[in-house]
Amino acid sequence: MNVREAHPPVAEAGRAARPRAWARGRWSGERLFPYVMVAPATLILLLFTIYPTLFNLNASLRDVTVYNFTSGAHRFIGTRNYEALGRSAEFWGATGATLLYVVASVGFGFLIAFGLALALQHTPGLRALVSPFLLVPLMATPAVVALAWNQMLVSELGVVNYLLGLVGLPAPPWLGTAPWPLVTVVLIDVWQHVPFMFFVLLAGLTVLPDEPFEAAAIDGAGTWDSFRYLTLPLLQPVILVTLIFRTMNAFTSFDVIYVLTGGAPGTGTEILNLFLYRKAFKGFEFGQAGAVAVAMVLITGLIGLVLIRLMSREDAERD
Amino acid sequence: MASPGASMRRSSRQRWLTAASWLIAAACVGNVFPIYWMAATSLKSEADIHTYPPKFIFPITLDNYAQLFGQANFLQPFENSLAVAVGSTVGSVVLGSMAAYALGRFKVGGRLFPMWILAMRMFPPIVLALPIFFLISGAGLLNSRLALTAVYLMLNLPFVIWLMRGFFMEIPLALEEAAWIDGCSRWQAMVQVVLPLARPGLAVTSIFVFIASWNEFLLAAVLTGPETRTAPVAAAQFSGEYGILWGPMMAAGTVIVLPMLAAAMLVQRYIVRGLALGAVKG
Repeated sequence: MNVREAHPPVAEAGRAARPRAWARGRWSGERLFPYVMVAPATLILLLFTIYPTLFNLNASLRDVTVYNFTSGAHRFIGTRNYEALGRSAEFWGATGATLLYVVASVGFGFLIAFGLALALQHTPGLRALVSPFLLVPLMATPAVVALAWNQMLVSELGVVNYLLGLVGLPAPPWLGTAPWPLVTVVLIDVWQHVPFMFFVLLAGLTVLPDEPFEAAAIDGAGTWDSFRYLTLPLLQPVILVTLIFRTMNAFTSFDVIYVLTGGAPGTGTEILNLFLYRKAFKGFEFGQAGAVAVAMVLITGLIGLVLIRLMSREDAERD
Repeated sequence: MASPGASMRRSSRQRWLTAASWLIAAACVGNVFPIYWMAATSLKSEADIHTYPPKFIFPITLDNYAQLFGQANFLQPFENSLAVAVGSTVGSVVLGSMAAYALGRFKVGGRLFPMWILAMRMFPPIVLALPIFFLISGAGLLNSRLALTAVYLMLNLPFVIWLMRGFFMEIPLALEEAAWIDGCSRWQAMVQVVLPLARPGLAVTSIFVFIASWNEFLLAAVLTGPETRTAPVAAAQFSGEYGILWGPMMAAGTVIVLPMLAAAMLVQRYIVRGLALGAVKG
């Protein structure tokens, strides 16, 4: 797999294609061809971009609940939903839990994944042996993963605490008192997503050029030095993309927490996704839910913007 | 004899190697254990499930599976999952590849369009749940497989476009130009020249979106009813009068996960490649 080298010819092909493709257009049908090809997907994506955005924005500015939704008797109340959200301890609790959850699972998972990728960097045989194992969490249905872990963590009968007991470790109340449930959902998220970061980082590591490392070895640089001054800076773009992709992905977590704890204890594991779900589908406070949705789009949009800037900078460097 | 410095370096290197092998071994066991334990639990009798210490060796029984497909009628949600996943995979791969081809070859929409597609991949689906719920219920399609298929198709599109754009851009333009000169139309050149070359890419993409649709939970939980619920939703609802029915529930989880894992193992090389491309490729 050669992620880097695949690019330059592509860019050239694209540049060359346009004038020739346009000049050749004997029939206007040929000119329309690319637009006809993009149209169906674009229309579907537009529908599912514009409608939800308008819906959430509109709902967030109205006092709409399940009682007045069909009658349409809800009023425009300006930013009152947002103000209520700003005063709501639950909202800030969920925001805090989200931050903790995302930072802990991305950070912890990254360290493990990077360690594994470095350990397997120069051993293709071992890598081939390990890869199938790592695919298991990645491909497993998250809702089912939650059920499986639930079985293993049941307090009186759980196999995890039994195994911990065998090696003399204490048995934490994984799904019991705070803050353990949050720790548990973080660990499961780490378990499920280390492989993703591992495979991406490994792909980045295997395409690093050999020459700088050979030169450094000749100059007597140790393992740590060549890691610190060569691997890290050379791999930086891949590390950034991995971290941001994973961060965005962690922000979308829902299934495991919903199935495993449902936000419990109290709202101890209620990240923003679950908070929004509760507002919308249990409390039927559509106005509040709309405001949360708008806030979440803004947050993810901000992070997404950073990602896009980073990736297009890389693109520009390659061109 | 080696100098003290060299032997120290070697012993620290050895320590590194030992640590690395332990890390790797732990990673392997830890990655499969929960799925193994679920499958093992699904083969235990109810008494064995509720024993402490947990049993690693036990008489195997298929009672839980009999209950799952008999009394609990799990075949229906399984069939729903299959229908929705197949439908949305075919739809999104066809429509997404068409768009990806135009984006990769003709640069329709400039830089902005690919960025929009990327942004679409990033938003938490929960933000869409309520609007889509009302959109679908307004169309009178709540509790239908069709609606869920359409929603999954949409959710898959950005990923298909993103991945396939990369694959199409790797195919040399000269091949199509030759076809155009031989009198092929744009469409013919794409179908007869480009698509056969893009087959590995199409396979990777299809596998990914199929698994994504198969695994989806949130929107399935929101948009389906008792007859149309998908397998993961049905599995999560497996509790009886006296609490969770672990046996049938673990059997349901095994039935959902094992076919996907088996398929993933067969095509693991492609999956690893797709992962790296999907994330790294700009």
